[in-house]
Amino acid sequence: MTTATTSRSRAEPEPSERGILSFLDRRRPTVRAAVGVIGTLVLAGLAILCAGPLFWLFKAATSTTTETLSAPFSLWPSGIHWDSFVQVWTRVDFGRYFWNTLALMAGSLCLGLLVATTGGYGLAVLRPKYAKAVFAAILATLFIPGVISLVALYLTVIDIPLVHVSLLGSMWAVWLPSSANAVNVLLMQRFFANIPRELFNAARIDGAGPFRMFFSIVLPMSRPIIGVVSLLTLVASYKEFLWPLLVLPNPQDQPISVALPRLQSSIDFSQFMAALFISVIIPVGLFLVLQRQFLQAAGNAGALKG
Amino acid sequence: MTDAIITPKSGRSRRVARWVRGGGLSTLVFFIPLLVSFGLFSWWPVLRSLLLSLQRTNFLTSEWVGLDNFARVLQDPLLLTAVSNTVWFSVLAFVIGFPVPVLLAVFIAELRRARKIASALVYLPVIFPPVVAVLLWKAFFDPSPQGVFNSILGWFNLGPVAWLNNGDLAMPSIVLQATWASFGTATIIYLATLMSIQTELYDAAEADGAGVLRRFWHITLPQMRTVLLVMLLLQIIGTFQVFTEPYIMTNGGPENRTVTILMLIYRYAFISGDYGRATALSILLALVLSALSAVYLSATRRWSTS
Amino acid sequence: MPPTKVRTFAAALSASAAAFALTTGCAGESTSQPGSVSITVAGQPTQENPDQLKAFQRKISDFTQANPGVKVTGDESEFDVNTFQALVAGGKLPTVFYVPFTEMQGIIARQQAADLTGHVAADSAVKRINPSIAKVATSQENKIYGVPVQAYSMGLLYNRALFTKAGLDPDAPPKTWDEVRAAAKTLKAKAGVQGFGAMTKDNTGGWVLTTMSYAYGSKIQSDDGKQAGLNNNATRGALEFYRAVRWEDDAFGSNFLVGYDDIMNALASGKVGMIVQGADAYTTVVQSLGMKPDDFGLAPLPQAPGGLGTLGGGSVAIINPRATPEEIKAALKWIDFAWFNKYTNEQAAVADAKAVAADKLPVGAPVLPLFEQATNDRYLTWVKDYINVPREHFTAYFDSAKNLPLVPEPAAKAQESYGILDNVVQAVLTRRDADITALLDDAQKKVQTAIDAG
Repeated sequence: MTTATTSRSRAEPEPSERGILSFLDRRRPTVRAAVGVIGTLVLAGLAILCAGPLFWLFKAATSTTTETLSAPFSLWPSGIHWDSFVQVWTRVDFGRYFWNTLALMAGSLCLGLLVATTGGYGLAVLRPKYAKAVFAAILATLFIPGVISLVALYLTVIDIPLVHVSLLGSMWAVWLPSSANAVNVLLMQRFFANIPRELFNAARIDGAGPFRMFFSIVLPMSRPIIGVVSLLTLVASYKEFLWPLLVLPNPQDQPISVALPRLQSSIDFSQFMAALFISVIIPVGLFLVLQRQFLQAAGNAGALKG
Repeated sequence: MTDAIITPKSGRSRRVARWVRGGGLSTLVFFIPLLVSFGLFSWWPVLRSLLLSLQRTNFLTSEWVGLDNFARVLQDPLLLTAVSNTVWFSVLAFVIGFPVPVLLAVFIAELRRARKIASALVYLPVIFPPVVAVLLWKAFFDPSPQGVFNSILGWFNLGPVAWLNNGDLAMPSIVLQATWASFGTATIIYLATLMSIQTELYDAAEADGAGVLRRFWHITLPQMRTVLLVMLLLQIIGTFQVFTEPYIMTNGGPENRTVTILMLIYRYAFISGDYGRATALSILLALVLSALSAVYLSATRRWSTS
Repeated sequence: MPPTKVRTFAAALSASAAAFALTTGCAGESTSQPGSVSITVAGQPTQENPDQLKAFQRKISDFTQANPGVKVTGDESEFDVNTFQALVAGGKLPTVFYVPFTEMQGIIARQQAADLTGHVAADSAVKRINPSIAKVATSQENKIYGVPVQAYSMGLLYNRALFTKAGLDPDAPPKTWDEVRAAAKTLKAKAGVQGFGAMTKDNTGGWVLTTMSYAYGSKIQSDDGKQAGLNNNATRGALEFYRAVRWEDDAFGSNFLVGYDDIMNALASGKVGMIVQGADAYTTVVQSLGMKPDDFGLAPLPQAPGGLGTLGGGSVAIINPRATPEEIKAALKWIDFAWFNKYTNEQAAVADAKAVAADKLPVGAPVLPLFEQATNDRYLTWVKDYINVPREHFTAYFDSAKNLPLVPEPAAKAQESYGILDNVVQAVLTRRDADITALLDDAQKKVQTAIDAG
């Protein structure tokens, strides 16, 4: 499965490569016309299907409720109204949910990176005797479906073994479980294992201990993989719904994803559309900036998901 | 697991000293985040599931009940409904959702200048947080004649359709939404695979006089065989755990036509407080999924060696 | 059941807090040692309501002054069907917590509330609560598991503005189901809105259908809770009514996956003319969803010939099952202090009403009297200057409280029954050819199985 990661790098689209059609094919007028027509259709279809809903959402957020509900496709019959955005931010207190979301993402990122980098380093570089067993146990979790432990994990979080603390209603209840992510650890482990051993041997001869090697060799060299893991973690955390719903019962602590279904029937429709738009425009903006990284991470995650 | 690495007792103190001097302790420090995180939030919950499924607990008292929980799961008349709904979802998601990304990827691969923008468009729905996408589509499925989809049907003198309010259409509607939200990931992965097919294969086929369709059939598809199989299994595993979409859109209605297995687990555990029964059903589901995962594992093995 | 309900009522509770600051602050036996018992009490308003929060905290300090041995901490938790189990399992249930009537039987069956039988003093206000209301928190063995603190009955809620717009008289709401049907048709034709609406999911569909069955003349379960009785003419009659409004008159709207919040929002925003709902919805609909008080119409639940009455609902204070006897004692004191003082003490009542009105929360909202009519009337005379609810619109409802019997919920597996009935309601509303008798027979079997399983 890990080979998928490496085959991805091979798969970087090179514009000069041919596909099913050859250069010769493309010179034929019928083929060229067909490619042109199909290409245009595909692009137009994709634009309507994929960008259309986003555009409609924007329109609904900036129209009045009555306008949208009575004529969903008329474009701003009474002009653009921005007040739904203002209302959502002031009256509905959307900022708080937003802040909760950011806090959840930040915490999951920090803990996730901590576990994945140190763990990956231990497994790939330090390799004590027990590393094999630990590695096997982590690999195993990839093949045990998460659903099996949903309830048990929940009961664990509300009464942590040994210390008997309940994390219910605290952000730790989301941060800690999300740090136990086998995909992240394995991605790190794989990357660290590819760092030439000679580097570490040389460092050891120079008297560097495991800590110095970690901070001066491993971390600086693994920026790309840290980027990928960070992106995966942040996206996953932004998207999470069921788990925060379960462990953050108090509305004040909830992230956007949990608050939105509740708001759906308690606030005005155009305000709700504005809330949805705010919730989607931030990841979309990030995506437009970091397109390549997103698509690459998608390939990685897709190939590793179990 | 942790027993193996806990410091041995006094008699072996010399060995301990040697272990510490040899870097054993600092190595262990790097493993601590991973062991704590996985131990508490991954390995222990799995074990605990097995225990819980044999218990009946309300947190004041708990008693061992043998296989009673499993029996009660199997006796629930809703189980059959939930299983068949879930399988129906899976089948529909396959029929609607599986071919689309393959064809799209093939088309996009043949595009040249527009390839980049096409991949960005395809991936846009994936960027939507699932909850936002579900809620937006729920608004699209407005059953009144002025609903978004019903307005579109109205242009062609069709409808109005009750969508989620129609027992026969509710699940297909949910599948439409789920497909929209996820087809981007699959398309990007297929696209990567297509880009990695060696051009010599096409050249050779072309030299043998193979037309466009035959090239697709004899080269493109066989080259994608393994990734297709893997994606299929991933899709089945994913669809068997569908929850968010029906939970938000219909909460199982109308007439339980969209109750899924995971929703049943959720209801047992978090509405009825029947954790034993919920865990029992989780384990049954996990067994099925593990079997599928095993197939996935062997498929990826073949993939990596091929 | 509906989270919003408990939230607004928490606000009402806190607003009355300021009141007690004025009235009970004088009880000063503050000589004994501090904090030998500590309890947490639900109902604390969230940060967004600073005034209410301040009032709530003042109330706690007043209580502590009067009861120096007790340390009270406020808690924001509210009942929500999705999180209640979590609160119990996670040990996060406050010492005093409020749950809807509908949840009580399940809570008693799962032993999730403390048994108060031996702790309620003979002279406590709890003992004077109207027996038909007190019953909801009592087990079949006559053990007390909670204290009802607020009660209402199900009625016909309607939008007075829409009635006027459709040429109907808002002061003469429908009295029979035929009249409801006719009004729904008129609302649809003349005002262009959905005439009648009903909830269908999260067990609320079954809850309302049960209410309608009572109005049509039958309970859905034997009184001892052993025998399900769904396939009766009354329930069929109620469903026939749904079917007619939906399929013959097309006055039932088009969305049939409707929860509590959805229907309240629809009523408040003038999208639906009439619904069957608890009268306490006034606070939610007017306070949180911004409906004009004068648009809120409330009529007694229409009765078919042989109708049994209406279903009651409300909030019950329960005490954490892990509480010690001392904590239970303190918690009962708190409940008494927080809720019942205003019925016995004029000063308390006036101060309470003043504070509530100052927070623009309703005083005199349509609720059922917890105690005998005289006590309630006395309270209303005490606070008459502060009443800010158009009670003149609800006279018929208030009169009905005297003679329309309050029928309790099914004794066993009420929530399961409601869930199963949700499906029947959804079937009738989404399928034109739904076979009501067959659906009820099937539901009957399922409920009976659930009852037998214990």
